[in-house]
Amino acid sequence: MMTDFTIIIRSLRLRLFSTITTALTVAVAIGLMLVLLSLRDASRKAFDRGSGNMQLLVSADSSPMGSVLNAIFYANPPARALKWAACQELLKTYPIEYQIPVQQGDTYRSFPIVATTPEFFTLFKPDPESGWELAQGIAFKSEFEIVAGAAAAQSLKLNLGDSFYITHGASDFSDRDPDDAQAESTQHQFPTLKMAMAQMHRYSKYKVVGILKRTGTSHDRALFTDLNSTLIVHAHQNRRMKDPSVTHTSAADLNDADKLITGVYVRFKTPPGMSESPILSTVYDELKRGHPEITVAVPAVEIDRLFSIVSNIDEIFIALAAVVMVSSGIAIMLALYNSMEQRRRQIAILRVMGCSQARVFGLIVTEAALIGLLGAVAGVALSLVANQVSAKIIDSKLGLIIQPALTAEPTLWVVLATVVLAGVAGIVPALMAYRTPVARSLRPMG
Amino acid sequence: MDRNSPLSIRDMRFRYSPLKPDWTIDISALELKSGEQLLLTGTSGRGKSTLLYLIAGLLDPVEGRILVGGTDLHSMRGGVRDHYRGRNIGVIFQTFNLLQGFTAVENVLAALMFSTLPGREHRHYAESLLAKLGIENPDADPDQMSVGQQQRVAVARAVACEPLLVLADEPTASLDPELADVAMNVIQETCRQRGAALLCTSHDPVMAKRFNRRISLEELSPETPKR
Repeated sequence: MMTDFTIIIRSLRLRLFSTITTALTVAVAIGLMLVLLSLRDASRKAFDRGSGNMQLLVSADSSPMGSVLNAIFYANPPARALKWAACQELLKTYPIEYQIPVQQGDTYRSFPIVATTPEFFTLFKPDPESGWELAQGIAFKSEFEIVAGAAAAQSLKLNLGDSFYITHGASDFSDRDPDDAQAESTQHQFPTLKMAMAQMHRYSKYKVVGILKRTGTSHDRALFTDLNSTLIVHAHQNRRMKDPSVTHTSAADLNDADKLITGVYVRFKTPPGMSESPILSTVYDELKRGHPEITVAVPAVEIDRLFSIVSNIDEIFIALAAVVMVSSGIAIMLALYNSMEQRRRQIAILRVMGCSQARVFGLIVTEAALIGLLGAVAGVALSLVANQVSAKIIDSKLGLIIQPALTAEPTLWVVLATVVLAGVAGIVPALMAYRTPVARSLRPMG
Repeated sequence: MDRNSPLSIRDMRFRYSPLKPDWTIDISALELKSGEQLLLTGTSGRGKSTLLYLIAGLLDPVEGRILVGGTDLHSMRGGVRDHYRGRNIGVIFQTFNLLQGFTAVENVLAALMFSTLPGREHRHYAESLLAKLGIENPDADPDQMSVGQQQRVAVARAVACEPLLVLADEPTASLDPELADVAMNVIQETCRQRGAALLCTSHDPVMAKRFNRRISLEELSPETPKR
C-alpha cells in the first residue's frame, strides 16, 4: 500500500545527494549545539565533583580561586607553603569533621604527586555521592608508597609493584636514572627551563601499592603518597645542603619547620541532611579577617564564580550554534525550493490522480521535517562521538576529566526544535507546491 | 452519482484571460454515455488538452456546466473536487507522466491511494492489473522499460480506481505507428472491460477508424471563434 510517507521517502531518495548534504548541515549544527550543552554540564559536574565533600580550603596561594584551581584541580603547583602545625592550631577551636593536609609540587612524568594522610581516602570524598574505591592493591600504609589515580595509572601504564623516582617541579625525565638525568642536564647546561626547574628527588624510590577506581574528578590524574614521604625527602635535601655527610633522614628527624604543606582540606561537622555546615560562613569570615597570611576559599563559591565568568563565553557559543541551526533550516528551505522547479510535473501528476493542494503542502512540509529529523538523529550520533573526542582532548590538554553525556530531556527538546524549525523552513517550498499550476506543469499536451 | 452519464457538457465557455475577447473553448453540448468511446479531433493548439483539464476540474469554465457522473465537479471545492477526480476520472498523457523514482506497481499504487479499495488489497490488485496488461515485472523501474510497456503502466494507473471516465490526451503522439496501434488496443480494450467511457484526443487521422463516434472541437462550437 502506498502512503504519503512512501511518496516522501521516494522524493528524498530521488534527490539523495541533496538530501544527504542538507541533513549533514543540520547534523553539524545539532552536533555542535549538543556538544556545547553537554560539555557545559559535564564541566560543571566535573568541577563540582572535584571539591567533593570538602567545605573549606586553606592555603597560602595568592587568591581563593587560584588556590582551588591548584589544590583541587592541579592547575599549577602551589607556590607557597604553610606550616602544618600552625594550621592545626588555627582550626582547633572549630567543630571540625576532618582537616586533611596536602603537599603538592612534586611530579612524576608531569603527573602531580599529592602527599597527604590516610584520612584523604577515608574521610574526604572526591564526589559528594561516593567515596574512593581501589581497583587494585591497597591504600598506602607506610612511607614511599604510591596510590595512583585511575587516569594517571592508565596514562603512565603503572602496575602494582612499579617503582620510580619523583621530581620536584615539572619534568620529562623523572622516569630515568637520576645520575644519567643529572649528567645530561649538566652536559647541556640546562638547555630548557623545564629541565632546569626540575630537580630529581633521589633519596628513595616510590613503589606503587594501589590503583584507584575512576572517580570522574581531577584527582584521577594524581598520584598519592604518604605525607611523611615528601616531608622526609625535602627535609633530607635541606639537611644535606647544610651537611653533605647526612645519609639518612626519617620521620623522627622532622621538626615543625620541615612539616610544610601547601593546603588543608577542611570539613566542619554538618547536621544530617545538610550539605553545608551552618558555621561555614562565620569561620570563613573569621579566618579571612583574622589571618591575612593564609588564603581561605570555599570551593563551591569559587567554582560558582568561575562558571559565572565562563558562562558568558559559553552563552556566545550556544548562540552561535543556534545561528548555525537556523542557517541549516535555511539550507533545507533552499534545497527544497530549488528542487521545486524539477518537481512541478511530479506534483501536477499527483494532483491529477486526486491529491489535494493541502495534501501536497503537507507532503513538502513533512519532507522538510523529515530532513530535519534525519539531521537531528545524525547530529545526536555525531555529538556522542564528539563528546568522547572533546573529553579526551580536555583531559590531555587541561587535565580536567569530564564525562559529557547527553541527557534525555534537553536532547529531546533540541531534536524536537530542529524538526519544527525544518518544518517551518519547508513552508515556502510547500506554498510553491501548493500553487503549482497543474495544467501548465503537464505540458506538452495537445 | 449517475454512472450512466459519465460526461455531460452544457453551454460551457472558457478563456485563459478575461482580457481576451475570444473563447478558447466554446461548447454548446457534449454527452458521453456509459462505456462510450469518443475521439475528439482538432489541429494542434485548438484547445483539446484545455478541454480535458476543464473536464478533470483542473481548470474552471467561465460559463456553463460540466457534469461528470451527473455531478458538477466545478461546484466542489479544494480537496473534495480532487478526491472526486481521483476516484472517477482517469487520465492518460501523451508523455505518460509516470512518477519518477517509483516502480511500475508503485505508480499504480499511488493512484489507488485515492480509491475506495481497502489498503491491504492494493498491492495484489495493482499487480494483477499490470499482469493483465502484460507487465511481467511490476517492481521494475519504468525508465528501464520499453516505451510500449511504459504506456501500459500509464493505462493501468489511469484505470486503477475503476473510473467512470478516462481522458486520453494524444496517447499515441510519441509512439511509432506499430506501437501506437498496440497502445490504442490496450487503452480501448481496458476501458471496454471496465465499463469506463473514453474521451480520446488526437490529431492523427489514422485514429479515426478506431472510433465509432468522432467529433472535432470546431463542430462542438456554436460558432467559429473570432480571431
